[in-house]
Amino acid sequence: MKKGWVIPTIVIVLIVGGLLGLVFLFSRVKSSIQYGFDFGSALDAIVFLAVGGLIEYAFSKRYSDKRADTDLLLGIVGEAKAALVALEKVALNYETGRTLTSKQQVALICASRDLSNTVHSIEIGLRHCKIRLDALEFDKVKYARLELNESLTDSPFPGPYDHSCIARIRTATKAMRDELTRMAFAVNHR
Amino acid sequence: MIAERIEINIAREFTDTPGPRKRSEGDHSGEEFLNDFLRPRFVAARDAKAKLCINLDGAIGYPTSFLEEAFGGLARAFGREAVEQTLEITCNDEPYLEEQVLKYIRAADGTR
Repeated sequence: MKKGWVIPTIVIVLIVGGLLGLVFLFSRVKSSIQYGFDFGSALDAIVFLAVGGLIEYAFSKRYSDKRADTDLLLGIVGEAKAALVALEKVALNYETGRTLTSKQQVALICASRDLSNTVHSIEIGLRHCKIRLDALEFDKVKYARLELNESLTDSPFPGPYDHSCIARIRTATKAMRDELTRMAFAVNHR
Repeated sequence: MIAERIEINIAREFTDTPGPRKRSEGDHSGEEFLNDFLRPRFVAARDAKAKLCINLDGAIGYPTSFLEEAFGGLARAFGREAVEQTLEITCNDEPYLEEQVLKYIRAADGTR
C-alpha cells in the first residue's frame, strides 16, 4: 500500500466502525421497542402530502396568473403613457402663439385620439381581468383624459392660444400623467 | 312609407377632417355641420318619428369645439330630451366619442 493511502484508510475504517458501533449500541438499548408498519398512518401521510401539494400548486398557479395579468396591464398603461408623451410633443405647437396649420391640427387630433384609445384599452384590459373599475377609480383616468382633450381642442382651437389656455393645457397634461402613474401603482398593488 | 332610420356618416358626407367651432374660424366647422347637415336631418327624423343615426367613423378625429357646437348646439335648439330620443351615435374608431357627445348634449341645456 502506498504511503499516501494509509491515513485516509485508517480514518474511513474508524468512521465506518464508529457508525456500526453506534447502530449496535442503539439496537441494544432500544431493543424493547417494537417496530411495525401502520397502514392508516402511512395513508394519512400520503393524503396530507397530496393535499399540501395541491394547495401549493393552486396557489402558485393563481399567483403566476395574477402576476402575468398585472404585467400585461402595466404594459397597456405604459402604452398610454407613451401616447401621452407623443401628444405632449405635438401640443408644443401651441406655445408658438400662432394659429395651428392644417398639418399641425391633424397631428394633434390624431395624437389625442391615440391617447383616448389607449385609455380605452386599459378599460378593456381591466374588464378582461375581471377587475372592478370603481375599485381602481378608473373614472378619474377617463375624466383626466377628457379634460386634457377639451383643453387642447375646445375653443380657441385651432388657436392662437393665450396664456390662460396654455396654463390649462399644462395643468391637464400633468393631471393625466399623474392619473396614469396612479393607475400603474393601483394595478400593481391590487 | 316612413323611414325608421336616417343616417349621417360625417366622414363620407361632410368631411374626414372636422374643423373648429365657428364658420369664421375655418373650414368644416361644427356650426357648418349643424346648420347644413344635422339640423335638417334631425327635423326630418323627428317629424317621421325615426332614429337619426350619426356614424362618426372614418374621420381622423373630432375636435371638442366641433362636437360641442354641433351636438350641443342641436340640444340648445331642440331641447336635450328630443335630441336624446332621436339621436343614435356610433363610433368604432374611438369608443369614448359616443359618451363625449352625449355629455355635450346633456350639458347643453342653457349652459352656453
